[in-house]
Order: sequence, then structure tokens, then C-alpha cells
Amino acid sequence: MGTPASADLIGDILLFAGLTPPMRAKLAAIAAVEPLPAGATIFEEGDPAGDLYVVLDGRITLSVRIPGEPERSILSLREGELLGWSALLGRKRVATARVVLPSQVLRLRRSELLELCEMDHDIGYVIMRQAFEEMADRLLATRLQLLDVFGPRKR
Amino acid sequence: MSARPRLGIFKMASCDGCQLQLVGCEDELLAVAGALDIAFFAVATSKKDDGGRYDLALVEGSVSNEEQLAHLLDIRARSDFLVTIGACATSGGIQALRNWRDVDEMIRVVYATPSYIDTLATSTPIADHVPVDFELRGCPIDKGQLVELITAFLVGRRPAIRDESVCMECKRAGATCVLVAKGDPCLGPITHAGCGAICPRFGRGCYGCFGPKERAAASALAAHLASGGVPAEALVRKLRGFTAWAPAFRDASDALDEG
Amino acid sequence: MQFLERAALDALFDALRAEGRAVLGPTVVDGAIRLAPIDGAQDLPAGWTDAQGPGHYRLRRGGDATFDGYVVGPDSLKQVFFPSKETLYRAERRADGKLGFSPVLPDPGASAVLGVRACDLAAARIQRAALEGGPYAEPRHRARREAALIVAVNCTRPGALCFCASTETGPRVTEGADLVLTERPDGFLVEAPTQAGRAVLARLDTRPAAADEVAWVDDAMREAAANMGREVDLDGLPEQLFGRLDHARWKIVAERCLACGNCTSVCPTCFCSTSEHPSSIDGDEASRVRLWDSCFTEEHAYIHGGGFRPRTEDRYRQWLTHKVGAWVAQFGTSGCVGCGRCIAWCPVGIDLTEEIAALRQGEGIAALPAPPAHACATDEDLVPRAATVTRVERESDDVVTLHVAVDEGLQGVLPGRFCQVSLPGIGEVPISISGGDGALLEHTIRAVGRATDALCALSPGDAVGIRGPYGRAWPLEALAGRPVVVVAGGIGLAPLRGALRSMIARPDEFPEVHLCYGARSPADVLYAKELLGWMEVPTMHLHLTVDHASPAWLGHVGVVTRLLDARSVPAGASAMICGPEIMMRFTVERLAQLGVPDERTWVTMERNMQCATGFCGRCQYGPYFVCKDGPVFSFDQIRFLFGEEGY
Ligand SMILES: Cc1cc2nc3c(=O)[nH]c(=O)nc-3n(C[C@H](O)[C@H](O)[C@H](O)COP(=O)(O)OP(=O)(O)OC[C@H]3O[C@@H](n4cnc5c(N)ncnc54)[C@H](O)[C@@H]3O)c2cc1C
Ligand code: SF4
Ligand code: SF4
Ligand code: FES
Repeated sequence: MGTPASADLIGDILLFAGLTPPMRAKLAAIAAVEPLPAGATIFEEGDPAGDLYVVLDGRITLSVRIPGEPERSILSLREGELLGWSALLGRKRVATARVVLPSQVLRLRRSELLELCEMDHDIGYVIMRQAFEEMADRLLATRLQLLDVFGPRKR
Repeated sequence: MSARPRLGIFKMASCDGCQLQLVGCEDELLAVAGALDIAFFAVATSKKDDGGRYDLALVEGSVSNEEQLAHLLDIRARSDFLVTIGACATSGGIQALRNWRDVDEMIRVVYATPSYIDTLATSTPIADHVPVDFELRGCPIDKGQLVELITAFLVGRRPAIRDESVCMECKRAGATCVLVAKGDPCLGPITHAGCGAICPRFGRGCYGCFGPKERAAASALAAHLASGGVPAEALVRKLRGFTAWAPAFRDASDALDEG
Repeated sequence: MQFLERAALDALFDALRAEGRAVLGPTVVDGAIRLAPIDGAQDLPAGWTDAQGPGHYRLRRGGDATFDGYVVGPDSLKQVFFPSKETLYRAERRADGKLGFSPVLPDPGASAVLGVRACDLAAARIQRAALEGGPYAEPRHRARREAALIVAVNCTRPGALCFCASTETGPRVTEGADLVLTERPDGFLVEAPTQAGRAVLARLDTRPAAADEVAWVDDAMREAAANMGREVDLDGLPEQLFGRLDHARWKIVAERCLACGNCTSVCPTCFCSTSEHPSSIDGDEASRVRLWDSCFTEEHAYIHGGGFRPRTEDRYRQWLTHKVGAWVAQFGTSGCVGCGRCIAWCPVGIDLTEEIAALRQGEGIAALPAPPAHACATDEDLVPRAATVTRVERESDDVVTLHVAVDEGLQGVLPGRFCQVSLPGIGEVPISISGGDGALLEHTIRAVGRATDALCALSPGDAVGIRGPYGRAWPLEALAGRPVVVVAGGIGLAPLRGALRSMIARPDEFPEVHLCYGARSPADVLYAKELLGWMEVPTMHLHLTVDHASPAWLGHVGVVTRLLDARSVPAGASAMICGPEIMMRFTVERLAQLGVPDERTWVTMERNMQCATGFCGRCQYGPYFVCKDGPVFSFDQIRFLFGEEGY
């Protein structure tokens, strides 16, 4: 299951920019770099809470099932973005994550991550804050999507 | 246009006045008849509804009994573009005055054999029951607007039927404002244009027969007229004329009624 | 200055008629003093007095048979020079399938308008600036204006609603008149500032005015100025109004305002218009008719999908912030000349002097940017040219690109500009130039309503009408030399395509161009083939996203703002944006975070347009007209108003 992550790699990730070198080392200890082939499914809508990922490169899309309609992709994630954030809250997966272009992800094991955050609130704070930032961006984007800015399709 | 579009003209509860406008369009009617297949027109021809589809359906009148409601649903299902014509169809018409009364009581008073009368408790606009593609206002509708509606439908333009105040037409026509220059209570500022400001042009206040314009500030106008000494009852009567059941007029008249 | 006996007034009519002039003047009709054709002095309202107040106008007869008992009625020179309804052109479908357009231009016989007041002459000057003083001049307005000889009067007894002294537009006539009369008990003092006026004066039996009579006029004018029924303080008002867009007063006045449009109809400076396209029932004969409109109608601010000014407070605020606010930036003068008409003829008596006074009480000042200056006045009769569709490309479900050959060719075809594209009997709509040159235009059109539906249904060989191009192009010269980020949403790629093609063709000036394009779904992506070609262009970097897709789609999913990051927005970049307004709003914020300053961010605006030439007033946007000052703006020009509800 992938190769262990280095503290340097962690340092390159924008999301973790606020971590000190010792913190990075701690995070590296629970993380692994995983290559993922195009077409792979990382998790599916409804799965129990699992690990947290950061996209290192490639492209991963989130899609949702709509009863009576074909499945629909609603968001793609790229380099530097967080995937599977609901893991932090222990929720079920709310979307299906598919790899559309060959990708690399950093995988953070959920239980150890939560434990680390509990034990070292400084790390916990940085991670939660970053997750929060990203959620705010995504919320804004979702709003725009909801507004259907291209105007109502006719009839 | 290869096959001529099929036109159906239907009626619910109404006086036929609006349909008669079409009959009265003599010259234009010939052109209309040439461009359309008038497949159903109860007032003017003896043709029966053949149960087919209609490209354009004009519906006159309000819904005041169960039979009309069933008929309306049937027409809607068979029509591509449904237009309500006249105050009855768009806002319930004069007969909507019954909506403020006890219908059974009225029937007992008016008819010798009340049991012959089958009626819903209310007289309501077509749009309360089925989706409407366009509303042609007026009591009766204006000939010019009817021809414009049909021409626009055939040619494919948005009908030049403006949702603006009667005042806009009144001022364009160069009439003197009867409200300002004579103190006549006039509903023009809150009434949908289309009549060519005919009443003000002949020196009388507008009766509001085209119903409220968009954003009709009926209460604001009523408050102003009341401050100028027009009694509340008179204002209620004025607002409960041809289109009493239209929400903007209804709410304002109810508010006045309650004091 | 000359003196004319009261009894000799009929001679003035004779003199005007001798010049072949039809005479219009004040006369009593239906209980008001109206401007109408009159035959002689007996038709003038001698001895009538008007009582005017907010929402109130009554005429009373009595007193001396003089002309100083009344002031302005509802009419002004606007009725004469800019009729409430007129046909602009006729169109017919010829036997060969082509369209024939023929302008309808007035042939006004010589006329004379009597009894015009100083405020109305100021108003005529202001209307002239709007209709003849911008980049285009309306020939119908000019013809009527030039045909009229103006016999003005100095007001010696201002009315209860007059405040021309505050607006510095009266009571003394200082402009625009051929003859100026000042009434005295025994007759009239007459000045003739123009040659035409002197010619008329020469036909009259007058004597030179005595020195004391000349001095009397000065005194009378001073006294009149001191006796205004109302006053208003216009100083610094534009900045105050735009700084107080959330003033509580707007809501208060909206509780009374009926949004009926009487105020704008009687205002001698209001010039907004709309148009209709009546036709015969087969559509073969059609015309375009222009009619007075008002910023109080819903349609005024309508664009496909909704209106910008749904609430009455939005409309009243638009009116006042334009009239006595943005007007100053646009025309160098306030749009109010102090005539009081809007106060008298408002059915509920809303008094703008009171509203202005209330709005001055408050906090907030906003500097108004000045709109760009325009080289003056080429004639524009608003008549389309016949054109033919040569090719139709279907871009998506509801979008097509029309290739259009214009018979006589067009000048000034540049990316970012737009044409008015029309079908007789159906309508005319603004459509950006998405490619082409003077001989062959490309227009990419999304079917959203009646006119665009009909345009999208055209086939090669079909005829259309085209006029233009209008508006301001993308400032490619200003953009050259830096990286450029182009952000497009939906149909917004159309006006950018021509600019992208130009930038690709000039790699030295545009070494790095990023296109960030968001469409609704993969099937809605415009110019798919051309985009594929652009992927091969070394200077072009394509970033494409869709709002949603099937899982088979390998591209980005999400809104276009998510494409904007350090990779697509290089340091020092400039930006060009076109898309739905809400998308542009989020895009400029994101670009600002990434270091693109407002003055290097260019956007295109969309507002309802009828004329595209600055005449119809529909496309007002604060101090700008989108049609002539835009549609391309640098963001620092519009930031102060951008996203403000109601504009
Ligand atoms: C500068 C400019 C450039 C444009 N470029 C393009 C383009 O390249 N491609 C394209 O598909 N569309 C473009 N539009 C939008 C296009 O003009 C409208 O979609 C069109 O006017 C809708 O007309 P309609 O009769 O089909 O719709 P309806 O909804 O029936 O509109 C009725 C009338 O309202 C007015 N109106 C409605 N929407 C607009 C609008 N968005 N802008 C201005 N007036 C409007 C028009 O007078 C129209 O005839 C542009 C608009 C502007 C202002
Ligand atoms: S705003 Fe009112 S007072 Fe001013 S010029 Fe217009 S009508 Fe006259
Ligand atoms: S201010 Fe008066 S005249 Fe103008 S729209 Fe409002 S109610 Fe009508
Ligand atoms: S003024 Fe008419 S469109 Fe701009």
C-alpha cells in the first residue's frame, strides 16, 4: 500500500504549510503516497468513514447518484486539494471518488490522524483550519453551481 | 407555414364579449382566418370540437363550476399555447364578486328554483387551475391587442403588450391627467395598459378593467385618494370592479374594508 | 430690445405664418394648458391662472387678460422634437427573399413654438446632448429641432412648483431662443438673439425699448428669481446620492410611489424609449416603432431571466440617481431644470425637492468616475442593413453560430463590439461579434427568447438585418506585453473568441494566454473543434471545466473560479472576463486575490438595449451607457457599482 511519505513531501503540500518540521515528521509517520490508476474508485457514496487524502497530482472526481438519473460528476479535485474530509467528522462518504487521470495521493490513516490531532492540538488546529479553508472555498463554488449561473435552460 | 396552425376559442363563465371582439375584427379576422385553421369557435361557427390538438387556444371566462373545470383541464392537455382572454379568465371577472358573499344565500335570493343552479362557491381565474402561457387583459379585451397577440404568435415575436401603467399610454396619447387636473379617482397608475387610456382620454377616471399592472401599488394609491377625501366605501367599490379578485386589488380592497 | 404693443400680438402670428411656419403654443385643452397648434392670440390662455401643487393642477379663469398667471403645463419641447411614438423604418420581405429596409424620416415643415420658458430651453439643450451629442446623432430629432423657431418668454411670476433659480436654468431665457418676450402690463419687450428671430422681428411694428424698460426686465428677473415656489440644493448631489444607495429614504418614498411613470413622461429631459416591431399577419411587411418608456417600467431593466429593478425603490432610486446624479457625469449638467412638472403630475404628489432634501441628510459620499469622452456625432438613423446568412454552425443544443454577409460591408468590426441583429416583425437584439471581418460576420447566439429563437432557427440563404458594430472593443493594445488570463462562462466565450484569435495570431505581443472556460456541461462547450486546435498552440493554455458531467468526462468539474490559481494566473497578468454577472463577480474577487489589479481586469456588461447608440437610455449603468461606454469596461471603472442590487 504505497510508499511511506517523507516530512519534506509534507512540507511541499500547501495545505500543511503551517506545520513546523517536527509536526511534519509526525504527520509523515501516518501517511503514505499511493499511485492510483485512471478508472480506480477510491471510495463510494455511503461507505463508512475512511481515510483522508490529499491529491498530489492527477485528477479525481466526486460524483453523486441521483435516483432515476445517470450518476453525475459534480466536482473534480486536483493537486493540493483535500479529499474525503468527512473522515475528520466520522461521517459516511457523501460522494463517490473516482480517478479520471492517473493520480498520486497522500493517504492519511483516519484513526491515527484523529489520534494525532487529539494528542497534539497544535497539529490538530492547523489541519482543521486548513480543512475549514478548503470547505469555505468549496461552499462558495457549490453556491455558484447551485445558482446555475448560465441561466435557466428553456422549457 | 405549410399546415396552418389550429386555433380553438373556448369559453367558461363569461358574457362572450371578448370572443365577440374577434368577430368584430372584420378585416383583420379575414387575415386571421386565412393564416389559421379556426378549428373551434363556439360563438361564431357550428363546428364541433373534434377532440384534436390546438396550437393556440384562447380561453374566455372564469371557472365557476365543476364541469368547466373538467373542460379546462381537457383543453389544456390538448393545447400548445394557451392564452386567457379577458378579465374573467385572468382574474375571475365581475362574477368573482360572489367570492365575498355566501353563494347559497345569493342563489336562494336570485333564482326561483335554486336546485337548478350548479355552481362552485367561487369564480376563479384560469391560472388558478392550469398553467397559462399568456394573459390578454381587459373587459372586454382590446381588438388591437387580440390581433397583435395572434400576429405575434404566427410571426414568432413577443407580443407588444406591455405590462406598464395606463398612465404610460395616457401620457403618450397626450391626454390630460384626470386625477391631477380634475381630482377624479383614477385607477390608471396601478392598472395594466392596453386599452389606449380610453377612459382618461374621454375625461373619466380609469375603472381598472385591465386589472393590476406588475407591482400595482393599490394600497398606496388608495391611501392617497382617501387623504384627498374619497370615502373608503367608494374606494372598495372602485377596486372591486372588473378584476376584483386579482390579488393586488383584492388585498387593497380587503384592507380598506377592514378599516 | 424692442417694444411690441399688446394689441399687436396677432401681428406676430401673421409674421410667423408669412414665413410659412405652423404655430404651436400654449392653449387651454381639457382643463390644462397644453402645447397645441394655435391660430392667433385669441387661442392663448390670457387671463388663466394655474394652481399647482404636489399631485395637483387646476386652472382658473379670471383676473387681467395677461399671460403671467400660469407657468408650464404637462407639455414641453420634448413633445415637439421627440414624439411619444414614431415609426423609425419599414421593412419588407422582397420577392427575391431579401429584406428591404427604408428609413422613415420626418419632413417637418417650418414651425414656431410660442411661449417656451427658460427651463424648457435648458431641457431642450439637455435632450439634444443625449440624442445628438454623443458618438451618434439622431437625424429625426435634429430635423424637428432645426425646423422650429422658438419664441420664448421670460417668467416674471414663477409658480408654486418652480425652482429654476436653484438649477440655474431660469427664469431668464439665456439660450436656445430666436425671440424672447417679456410681458409688461402694456405690451412685450422683445429680444431677438438670432438671425431667424431678427427676421421675424423685422416684420413687426415695434419701437426700441426705453432704458427704463430694459432696466425693468432686469429687475423683474431678479424679483422672479427671488420668488421661486421651491428650491433645491444640487451641490455635490451626485456624490451624495451614490454614496447613500442604502439611505432609508428610498424605502420610504417607495411606499408612496406607484411606479406609474408619469414623472418621467412629463419630465422635459427624460429621453428613455423602447420599441416595438409590428407586422402584417404574414410577417412580410413590418416596421419598427419607437415609443417613450420610463425607468419605472419593469421592462426597462429586463434581460432574459429577470429584471435588474424588481422593486419600486430600485426604480425610484434609478430615476433620481440618474436625473440629478449620474446625469452630471454623462452630460456635464444635472438632468433637472426645475420645471416642477414631475411634482404636479405625480398622481400621489411625490416632490423631488423634498426627496432630495431628505437624502442630503445623511452620511456617505462616493466619487463618480467620469465616462469616456466620445468623438462627436455621426448620423445614425437606426435602420439595419440587409444581410444574408451564409452558414450555420450548431454549437450545442441551444447555441448556433451564424455566418452573416452584410451587403455593403461594415466598418470597425473588432472583437468585443456587438451588432444589433434583427428580424423584421420579430425583434432586434444585441449580439457580440464572435469572429469575422467587415464583409463576413460571425455571431454566436443562444436561444433564450423569441428573437434569439428565431435567429437560431435560420438557415443559409435567409435574410437578417444588421446594424453596427457598436461599443468598445477589447483593448488589445493595452493588454499586449503581459500574460493574459481570459475567463469565460457559457455563451460568454463568444465575445472573447475574436480576441483569442487575435492574440494567437500575435504571439510576440501575447506570449502567454490562459483561457479558463466554464460551461454548464460537456455538451454545452462552444467551439469544441477550435478549442482542440488551440491546445496545440504553444502560447495558449487551455483550462476547461464544466458544472456537471457524466463520470465518463475526464476534464475538470466545478465552477470556473476553481480553475484560477497560480498556474492559470501568472504573476503580472491582465484579465478579460465575460460571463454571467454573478460569475464575473466571483471571478474578479479571485483574480484580485491572485494579484490582478482592477485596472488590468476587463469585463463586459450586459443590459437591456434598444438602440445601441446612447438614445434609448435602457442600458444606463451609473454614469455609463453600456452600449457606447462599454460593453467592455476596465473593472476599476465600475467597481463602485458592480453587484449593487437595482443597477
Ligand atoms: C452587448 C451585448 C452582447 C450580447 N452578445 C450576445 C451574444 O453574443 N450571444 C448571445 O446569445 N446573446 C448575447 N447577448 C444577449 C442577447 O442580446 C439576449 O439574449 C437577447 O436580447 C434576448 O432576446 P430575446 O428576444 O430572444 O429574449 P426575450 O427574453 O424574449 O427578450 C425580450 C427583449 O428583452 C431584451 N433583452 C432580453 N435579454 C437581454 C439581454 N441579455 N441583453 C440585452 N437585452 C435583452 C431584448 O430587447 C429582447 O428582445 C448580448 C447582450 C448584450 C447587451
Ligand atoms: S425632474 Fe421634475 S422638476 Fe426636474 S426637469 Fe424633470 S420634471 Fe422638471
Ligand atoms: S414618483 Fe410619482 S409619477 Fe413617478 S412613478 Fe412614482 S408615483 Fe408615478
Ligand atoms: S442607450 Fe440605448 S442601448 Fe444604450
